[in-house]
Amino acid sequence: MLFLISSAPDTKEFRTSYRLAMDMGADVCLLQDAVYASRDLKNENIYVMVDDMKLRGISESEIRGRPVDYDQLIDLMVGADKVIGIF
Amino acid sequence: MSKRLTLFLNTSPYSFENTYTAMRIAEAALRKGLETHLVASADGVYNFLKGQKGKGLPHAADGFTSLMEKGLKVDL
Amino acid sequence: MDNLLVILRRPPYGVINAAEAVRHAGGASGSDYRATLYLIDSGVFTAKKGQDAGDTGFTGLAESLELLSEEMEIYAHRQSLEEYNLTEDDLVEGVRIDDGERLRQAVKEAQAVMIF
Repeated sequence: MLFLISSAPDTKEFRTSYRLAMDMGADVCLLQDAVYASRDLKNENIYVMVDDMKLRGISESEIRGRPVDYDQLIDLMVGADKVIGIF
Repeated sequence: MSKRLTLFLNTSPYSFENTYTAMRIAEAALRKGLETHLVASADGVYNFLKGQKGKGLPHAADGFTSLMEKGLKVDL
Repeated sequence: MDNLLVILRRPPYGVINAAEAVRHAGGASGSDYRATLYLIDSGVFTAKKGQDAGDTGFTGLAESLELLSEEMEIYAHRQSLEEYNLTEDDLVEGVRIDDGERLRQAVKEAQAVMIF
């Protein structure tokens, strides 16, 4: 299962969906303002949209997650049994 | 059977980044040969208005027109 | 039967989310889908009793929920209710309270999840 999250890290939308994803053992890909969370989250298994990072001046060395581009995101979506989002 | 991806867009084109995200996801999905659909509802339909003159943000109508030429199927 | 989960995270009227969530869940249910509507965060206010749309032109959404609850499952998230000091007595008939278990199950079971 893959959760897509686009909300900023300080929002309820982010907290609720991230908690639900973790509770369900799902993969997560951060998009849009949610990529800011990748600078603080301890989780190294999270996917982060590199395009949205670049737009916001976040470099790959600043984050813990795994940067992905849109082609890789499509592969993740096709490979997942279910895609939930975008939150 | 090829995989099918349906995107649901319900926000207006220039107040949110969703238009851009939807265009990028649709573009990559079409490139990978997925049957790609987009359903626009509520303010999402404004992405398809003619005569948009916005600058400094991804142009919604131009972007989606080009994707429809590549096979994106859109329902409002 | 096809199975749709609609998650609503916003209170009614101020933004279109609640009306859209109710419209899509109701439409799906009317088209022979099994639909579930799940209210979470400030979305739980949509089920609050006593909403009076009067002659505003808005559709009273709690009333819609009450009607829809006869044909679909509608849940309000317990922790969200607690956060806003709401109890079961504050909600219209037909809305069930869930502590998160039903949400995880519904996400697993649904073929599609719409988020408003």
